[in-house]
Amino acid sequence: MANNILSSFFSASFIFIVIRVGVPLLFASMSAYVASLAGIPNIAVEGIMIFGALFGVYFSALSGSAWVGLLVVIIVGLIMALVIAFFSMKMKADPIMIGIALNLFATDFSIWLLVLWTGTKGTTATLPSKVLPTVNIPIIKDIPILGEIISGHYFLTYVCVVLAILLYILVYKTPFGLRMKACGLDEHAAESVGIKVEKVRLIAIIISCILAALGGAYLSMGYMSIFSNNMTASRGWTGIAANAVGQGNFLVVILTTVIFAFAQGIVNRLALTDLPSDLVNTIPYICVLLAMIFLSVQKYRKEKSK
Amino acid sequence: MKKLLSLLLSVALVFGLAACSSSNSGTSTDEPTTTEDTASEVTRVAILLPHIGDQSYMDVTANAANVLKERLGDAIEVNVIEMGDDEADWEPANMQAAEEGYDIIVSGNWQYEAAMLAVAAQYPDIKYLNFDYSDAAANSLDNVYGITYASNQIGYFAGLVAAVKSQSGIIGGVVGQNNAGMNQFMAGYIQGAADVNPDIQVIITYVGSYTDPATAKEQAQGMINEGADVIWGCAGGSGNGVFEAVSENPGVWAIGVDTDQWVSMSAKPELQATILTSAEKRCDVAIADAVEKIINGTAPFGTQEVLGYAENAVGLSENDYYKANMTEDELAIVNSFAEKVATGETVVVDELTEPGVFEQYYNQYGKK
Repeated sequence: MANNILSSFFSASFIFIVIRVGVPLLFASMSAYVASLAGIPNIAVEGIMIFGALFGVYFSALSGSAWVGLLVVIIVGLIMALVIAFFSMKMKADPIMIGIALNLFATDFSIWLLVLWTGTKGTTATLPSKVLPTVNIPIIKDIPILGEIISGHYFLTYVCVVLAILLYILVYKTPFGLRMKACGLDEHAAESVGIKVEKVRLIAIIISCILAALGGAYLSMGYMSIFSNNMTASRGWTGIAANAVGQGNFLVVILTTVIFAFAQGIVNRLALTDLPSDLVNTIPYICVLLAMIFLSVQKYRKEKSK
Repeated sequence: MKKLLSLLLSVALVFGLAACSSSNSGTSTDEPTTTEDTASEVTRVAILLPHIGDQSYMDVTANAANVLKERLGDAIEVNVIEMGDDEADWEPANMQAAEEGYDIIVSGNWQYEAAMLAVAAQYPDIKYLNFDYSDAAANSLDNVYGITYASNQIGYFAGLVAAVKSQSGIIGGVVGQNNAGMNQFMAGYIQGAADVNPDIQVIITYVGSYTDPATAKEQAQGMINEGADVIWGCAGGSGNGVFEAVSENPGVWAIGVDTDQWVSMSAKPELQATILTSAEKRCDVAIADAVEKIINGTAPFGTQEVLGYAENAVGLSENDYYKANMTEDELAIVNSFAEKVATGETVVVDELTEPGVFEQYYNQYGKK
């Protein structure tokens, strides 16, 4: 079986799996990226994902439509953004503290809501919730290998890719992207040239929180068809780690996320072999470590050559 | 603005405190005050749990209250008390229950038996039932009666059904974590499957978490790609991922664990349809039996018992869906092997008392 599994790493279906496990990570890392770029670090990604996952399921069950659920997910992201913005900008609280508070709040409050809505603390399996459709792209789906890889994903997978492209354009090709970077680098300098720092940060945090909420919805309204207690399982934190590795470079953030997704895909495959599972489960973390080392070596060389 | 906010915060604080104090008194289903003349006849029982509502282990345990009321009616008063998930609250909660004058206190299990035992030592007149003990030596107090369940047999039954139902001869097991307690289930699982089909091939994976259904789904899908057509999800909340994966693959079956999971998936027909049966731990029946023994005075205090299939404490969910999807022959095979466990003819291996037995079985029957 070990041979089968090794050869399966080079198959189209493996790439398909990597995309499937990578999308929630990409939502999370984009969420962390856009917020930290504007100088208002959002470490509540995990908590917002939990809320996104739960509210999407509940409102899709209530309305009978997955699209209404998705709309509520976006609204939940917006509300969380306003909460973070209110406390960090109006009340001048430390954004890290707010993030910690929101994460703790989300973990417990989501269970309370589960009890309120379903009478149980485990899953929403007693709610007739809906899932977002799986998309088969016409024409492309019939192309051999390529169709196998990029067609047939969940709706939010394509949304994620489109949002990643839009985010890249926003950050690198528009004046607003430059303003975000300025706010992140030095808010006083940004202010002195007439940038409305609060407005820029508010928009950044709204984008960030909606991305996180969509990441949660991906898990419970496509990947799974139910919400289950704490189902994000640290994917939000993985996204924050990917953003930290990227150090402000969007393409490096994406590349790191892709590496994490590959690592996770490999772990899921190796789990089927009789390799020790505790060791196999460390692969993604070793990847983080290697990426960090690689980056600091790069940085060191750059500085030395100056 | 600031004044308004501080007012709101203080109101929230007051309400929060009020909520805390009310939760301390527990969610008693009955009036806790018994009038004095009936106090001598009515046996008062408290079941202490960290929380209920998990659709699994805790809920089955709490259901012992209903089973007892059904059996004994007005002669018994049972209150389920939620202690909260904070470890620091468990001993005070036990203390409070002891002070409230309960005759029998049901608590314990590997996670919080220490809190119960510390209090039990101080109240020798109260009878304690540890409903799922782990440390036998610590449970030898004169007023403590410990029971636990044969997890190896739970695995054995799941293995019987899996091997009987598998067409491909390959079955899977998605497990929460890699430890002796979980491998106790799995050693039994492989043994049960191998008894039915000596050529069975088993794939076992560890999710590494009890709350990550997405990873469990990927692992289950991987097993299905390898040819597995019956998968046992033995991973708490992660187990739901197994049902998700199986629901996307016609012809593949899933088996649930602990409770009849078919019932708890009521609003999700596509997931429900995957669950052939569940390998159950019937804590409710076992607790009711033990409490009755305590009332009759036949409970062997100071000792511990492992309850298995013979005591009806573990077994399969024999619901209508299971019966409809198993042929007469298949049922007959499962029942004949189960009968041998009841009579003691088959001894199911136990990873906890014979460390390494899981590895031995997995080496022999693991898919190569």
